Amino acid sequence: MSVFDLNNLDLLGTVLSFGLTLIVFSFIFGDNLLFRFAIHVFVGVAAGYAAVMTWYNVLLPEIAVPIIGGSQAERFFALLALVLSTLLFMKAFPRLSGWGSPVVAYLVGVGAATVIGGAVLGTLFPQVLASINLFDFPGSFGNSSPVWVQISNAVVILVGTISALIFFHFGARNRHDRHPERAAWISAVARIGQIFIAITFGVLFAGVYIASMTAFVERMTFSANFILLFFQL
Amino acid sequence: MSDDIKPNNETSPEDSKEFHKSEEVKKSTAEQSFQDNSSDNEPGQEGKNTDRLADAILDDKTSDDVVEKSPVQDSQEDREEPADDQSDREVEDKDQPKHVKGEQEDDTSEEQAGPLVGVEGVLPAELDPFFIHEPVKRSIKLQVTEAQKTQALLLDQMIKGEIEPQPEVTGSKSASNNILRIGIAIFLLVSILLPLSTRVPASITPPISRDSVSANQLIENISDGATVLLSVDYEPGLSAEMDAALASVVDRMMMKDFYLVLVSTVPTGPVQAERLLMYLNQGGGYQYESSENYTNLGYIPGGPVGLLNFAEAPRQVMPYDLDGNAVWYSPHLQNISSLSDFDLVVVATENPDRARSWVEQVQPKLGNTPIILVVSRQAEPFVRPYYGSEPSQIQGLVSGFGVGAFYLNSNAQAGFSSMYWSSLNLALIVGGLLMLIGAVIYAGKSLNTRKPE
Repeated sequence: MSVFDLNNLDLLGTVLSFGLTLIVFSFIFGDNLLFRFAIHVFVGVAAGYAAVMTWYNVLLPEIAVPIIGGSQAERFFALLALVLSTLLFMKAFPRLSGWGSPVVAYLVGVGAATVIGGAVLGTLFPQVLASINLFDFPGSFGNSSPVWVQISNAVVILVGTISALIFFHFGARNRHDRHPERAAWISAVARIGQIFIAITFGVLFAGVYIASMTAFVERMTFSANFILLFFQL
Repeated sequence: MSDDIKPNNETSPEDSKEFHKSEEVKKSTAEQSFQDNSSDNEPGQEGKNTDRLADAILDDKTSDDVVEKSPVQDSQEDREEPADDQSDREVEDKDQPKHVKGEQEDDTSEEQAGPLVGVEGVLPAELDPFFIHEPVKRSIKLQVTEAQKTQALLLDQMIKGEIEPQPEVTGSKSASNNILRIGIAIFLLVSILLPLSTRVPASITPPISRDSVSANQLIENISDGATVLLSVDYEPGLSAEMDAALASVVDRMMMKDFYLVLVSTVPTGPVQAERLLMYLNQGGGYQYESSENYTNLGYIPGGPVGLLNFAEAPRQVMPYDLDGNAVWYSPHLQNISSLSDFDLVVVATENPDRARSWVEQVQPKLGNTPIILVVSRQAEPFVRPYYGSEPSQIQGLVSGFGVGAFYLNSNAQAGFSSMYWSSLNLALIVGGLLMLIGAVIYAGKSLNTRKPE
């Protein structure tokens, strides 16, 4: 198979993709006009696509269709949403931006309530419970692990959790003729927490490194295959 | 720079006139006292208290003449602070209410005139300027060590440096930077292209993980033709890794003829999902068609709020598919009224926040329906606690390209993973070695720089 076996649209897409890939790779030689062009194209296409998607997937079915052909209740809620959206749009104009403040306040309030409620009930409480359950040895980590492995895991996680939390404790007692300092035992535990945090950052960096390298390898593989197909090698 | 909050004097001019008419002696004393108080307030002092916290952090910096001061400020500060200790003493002194005229008079003094003459402790009928005093002042000076001050200064410089244009590097340094950059690129390119050109099969197989095995078992245990909610929540920038991981799982589900309901909380997600299915149709020989084998409901707006809304009322939030069809009355979806009616939920994302939103907002509404997360390597550390905890909040975890490759090798017919597994391995090793060499060189240079000190 060669690239000329593709239909016109696929061929155009493949050639564009290959060209833009090369342009982005030109950053190896430093910032340049072509690279900036590619970035602007990406931003423009992404914004345009998001706008189209918002229209067809949000505004049309949630606002336009209910107002035109919905029941009375649907029309009411769609009109309410339209009015609130219009008020929010006023934020774009400095002289009228005050009209949008109540809508922003509502959005922030609802968003904060949702996120905080979810974090507390969906993450904090279950993870605290899970940390406690680590010491329920017959039940934790399945029955296959030896007890000493379960104990080790539980202790490491407990020490890591507590020491990392203590690292972010910055309270200090005020002392005469000396700078205020954290208590000695807090400093010692915080240093252990610092080690856990450093390991965590290392793991996160490794993940980002692998993800980035995967994207790089995929683009290089695509480019190599394109050249091979183009020259029918 | 003072360390204290200096309150504004808020006595109105009308009030002052009342006092002037009735008590001439008090007037002169009060005016003198007000002048004393207001002398603490520099012009334009109002509104500057909000900056005091930042100023307090950099207190030593400003007091060491890092910032040039006006003569007025200098004279002001000369009076206030020869040293920190003195300013602290001032703070302590000012914590006590300061009366305008000497000590406060006895509250139990007798009334001297009027119908209440002789009665003790009578409230004054009009405002007495003698009792006007400054509110209690609190110091907001931060108690920080020298090391903390240095770190705060460093952070301040870093933030300021971000918004200032950097001078262009020219000359030999620029040339060496270019050579270094090109050299690294060549090393990485060779490490990627070498396995591709020699067409060497994968020499290192991905590790077999408990996660992928359990995810596989979970899918196997679901009967053929089940209805599955699949959320494609990743950006195009990381589609290389995510496509590879997700393709393996979706391919397995297509083999079992699952009916897929596609959604996304990313605007580009719906088209990513379509592209993935198109690729799997081509690579795996499937005939998955829209509405017959899958439905693409499109983009869920609103972030976590929209997701919660969708979890509570999917029919109302996403009534139509991408083509504008009312899909919930189709034979495959007519029995689905909530997310717990799905047989399985699969979420693919590279973003830990989105993964967390699904766990926090949607998972509690799923009932007995299992949920599998397909995540990028960079999101895995954030998501793993949900999977590894007891009781676990997610029932399956497929992370990254490597696990996807294993999943592919063990089950599926089509996928991306085997194409560049060898190249990725070699590139990761070469990249790691380059970083190690760079770290060693940098450490050596740092040691050489410190020697003279």
